[in-house]
Amino acid sequence: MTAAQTAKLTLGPLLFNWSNEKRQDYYARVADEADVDTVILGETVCSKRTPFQEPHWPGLIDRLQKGGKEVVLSTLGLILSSREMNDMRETVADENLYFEANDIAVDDMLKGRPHMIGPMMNVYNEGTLARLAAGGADRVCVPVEMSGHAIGVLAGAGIMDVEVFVFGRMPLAIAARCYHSRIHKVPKSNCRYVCGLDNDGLAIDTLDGKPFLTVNGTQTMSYTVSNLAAEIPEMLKMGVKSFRISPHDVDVVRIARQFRGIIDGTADPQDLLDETDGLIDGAPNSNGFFYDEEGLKYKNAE
Amino acid sequence: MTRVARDPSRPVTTLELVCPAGTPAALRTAVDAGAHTVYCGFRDETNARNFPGLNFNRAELREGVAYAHDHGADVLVAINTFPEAGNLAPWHRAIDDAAEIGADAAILADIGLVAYARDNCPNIRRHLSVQAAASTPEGINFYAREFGISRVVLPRVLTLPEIKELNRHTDVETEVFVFGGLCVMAEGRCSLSSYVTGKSPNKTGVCSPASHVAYEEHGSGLDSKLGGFTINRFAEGEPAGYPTLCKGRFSANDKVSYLFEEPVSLNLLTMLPEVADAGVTALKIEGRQRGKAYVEKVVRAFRKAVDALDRGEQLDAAAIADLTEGGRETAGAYKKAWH
Amino acid sequence: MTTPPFSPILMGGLLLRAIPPELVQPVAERLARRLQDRHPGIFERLAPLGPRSFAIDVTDLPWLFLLSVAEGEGHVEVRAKSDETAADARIHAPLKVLFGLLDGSIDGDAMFFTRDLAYEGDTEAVVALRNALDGADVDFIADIASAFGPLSGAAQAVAEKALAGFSRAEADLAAVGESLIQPVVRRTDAQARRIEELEERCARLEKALRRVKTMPT
Repeated sequence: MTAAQTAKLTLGPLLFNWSNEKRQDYYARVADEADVDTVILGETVCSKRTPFQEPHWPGLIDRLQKGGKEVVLSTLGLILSSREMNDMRETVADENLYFEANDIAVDDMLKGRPHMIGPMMNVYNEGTLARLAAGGADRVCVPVEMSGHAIGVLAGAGIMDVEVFVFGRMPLAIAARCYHSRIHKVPKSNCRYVCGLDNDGLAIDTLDGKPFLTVNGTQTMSYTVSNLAAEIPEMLKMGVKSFRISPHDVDVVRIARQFRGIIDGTADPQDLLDETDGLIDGAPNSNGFFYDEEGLKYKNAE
Repeated sequence: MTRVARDPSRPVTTLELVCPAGTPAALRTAVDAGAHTVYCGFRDETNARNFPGLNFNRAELREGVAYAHDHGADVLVAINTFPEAGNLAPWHRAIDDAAEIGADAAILADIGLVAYARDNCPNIRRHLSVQAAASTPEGINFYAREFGISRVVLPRVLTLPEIKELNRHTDVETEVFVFGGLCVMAEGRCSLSSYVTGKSPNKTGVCSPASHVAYEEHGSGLDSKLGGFTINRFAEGEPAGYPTLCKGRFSANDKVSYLFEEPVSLNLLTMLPEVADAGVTALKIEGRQRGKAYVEKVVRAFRKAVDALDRGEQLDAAAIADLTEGGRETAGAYKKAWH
Repeated sequence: MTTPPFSPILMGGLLLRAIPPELVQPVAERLARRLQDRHPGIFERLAPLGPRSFAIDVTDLPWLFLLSVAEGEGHVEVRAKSDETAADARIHAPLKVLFGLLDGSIDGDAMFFTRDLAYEGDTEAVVALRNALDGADVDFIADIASAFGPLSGAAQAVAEKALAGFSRAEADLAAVGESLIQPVVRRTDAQARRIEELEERCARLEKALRRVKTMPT
């Protein structure tokens, strides 16, 4: 069996605060039509969003599994209160589910159980990977700023399956502060869920009008849209086992189909790159992190 | 090695003052000004203040440790970046050397590296760097149980009540930032700098590196730029700041503001009684990139304050106002209203 | 540029203007060698950057000092103020600020926040130079004095006295200078603000246009 036949496609957790209706429609379509192997549900950005989604998870999980998808439930990236910690403990208590940890405390709760490590955890080298594997982790989606060289080392180490974030605005930072609240001049404690106004995040500009970053509640993201389509053939050779598409307000079925074509060697990455350039908010593609350069850059492969 | 024991008259309740030393000269200055402990790093990518012209080679660290120990102060060595995949040796060597030289603790962030230190240099204390982003008792207790860490440096995103609560649920000593530059994002989880410049705190030990900074005069003012992006604009005569990218002015929904954080400096001098009450062990002063003049002034003021606190006296905050960026200060996340 | 500092050295500088750079060169060279001998760490700390040059414009002296650093060694050349030799960085500051930076009695960051020091060009090199100087425990007066050889004791006393008197005179002159220059500064500020407002409006329009262009059809 060749590497290409084993590489999988993952739909990452939805990072934005969509309305229930929009989210339900999106995942219904994913369940029925999207050619992805794994779908990750769960709230990773802000615990205040969770209560609106949680009741829908059992139904969504059921529907996605019936559509032939493996379902993973992800967890919070920054845990600040004992209430949030208790919520996490209750969430991961479900022994029938496979979880993604984005904080060392959640990884520790999952000790001895197979689970995956999300891209918000600092996994930069084989030493750390080996420690996490000893705790039960068997898959890792590496941090977005990881270089292609480092990805190659980790994928080649054979410690656990390596997944790479290949499409979407990149989560770059998380804070206790909520920037959507600050922009809308509402207190975080009574935020009125203003982050829900921007389906792909709120782009911010420099003083001279140049687009700079994207704000998503407590999370700060890239303005550019990461697209590693052209690097997939190289990553397949490195032994990368799966590729993560991050949900956006775009046709996910179409994007997934194109990525599948690239993995299978039947589609030209350039076609997808041309299509996604400017697709979200006018933002360009980027792949700089892969080349150990500025993450916002797009560098044409040799 | 001769070692002067800690002043026996020092009350056991005393908060330990942990002070920055970017250079051997700053180390001596900090010790002379009353630092109980100084922290520093090697002159390479193993520490999170890998700035040009700063830090210690092995011989300088050896001399620095001797000087500090002769004066009853401890030395912590920050080895708090994340080792590069396939190239762990420089980080391992940094731990080996810090232990051999006789530093009192290594400040570490990477899980693999903490494990290495426990297995290979068990005699040097292990402190968990703020870059490890351990913000919960559960996270901290994981590092204590698995790797025997003695102390954790807490992220600047926690409030004092949260810190107090946290201290009730862990036996690990806690160290909090009380003065200097303020990270508004959860430390160790921020790739903003590498997005704009290709260099990040986690990978290369720098944030908003000087190599990517430019100041441009225009009309009546000055633009500060990072990686070609305008981070801030200053009118003639207005105090200008360094373009740390989360401390700039940006436009959202066509309104300009200090969106992430104002260019203010953290100062908890007047809140030390509350900090002590929250159960912390050590107070950390940020600023290994700052000069001796800054170190001397801030350390002296804080030492005076810690000593005053021990005697139950009032504190005096006026002494440090002119050292802060643009003269403005904040209690940051320590006060809930900041969120 | 920032308001020109009115300082006793500036006043003295008017007299010094008659002295050509060639005459100052041997003194500067001697000082640089002295610094190198007594504090080799300064140039060693700069070595990782590779060869770098700094044009140091002491705003209250009539000369420009061109400092070049390579492989752990430094050289100084004295040039006329008008000299436009390319340098990696140009630093502008009054003598007192430069002395303070050298001996660590002034914090570089704080200095920049208040804009008593300005520079253009390679920020990394400037920061490295500042860090290296700060890390060296330079006692500048003693170092200058020792460069004068057997007379050093007397030279040191003179230098210390000069600096002390200079601080007092400077405070008085700064007030005079401010009052002379302020009205002009205010007028140009107002014009610049108007230009900036227009620039901002242009930028907003450009942005609106960009968003319209990228709107899905």
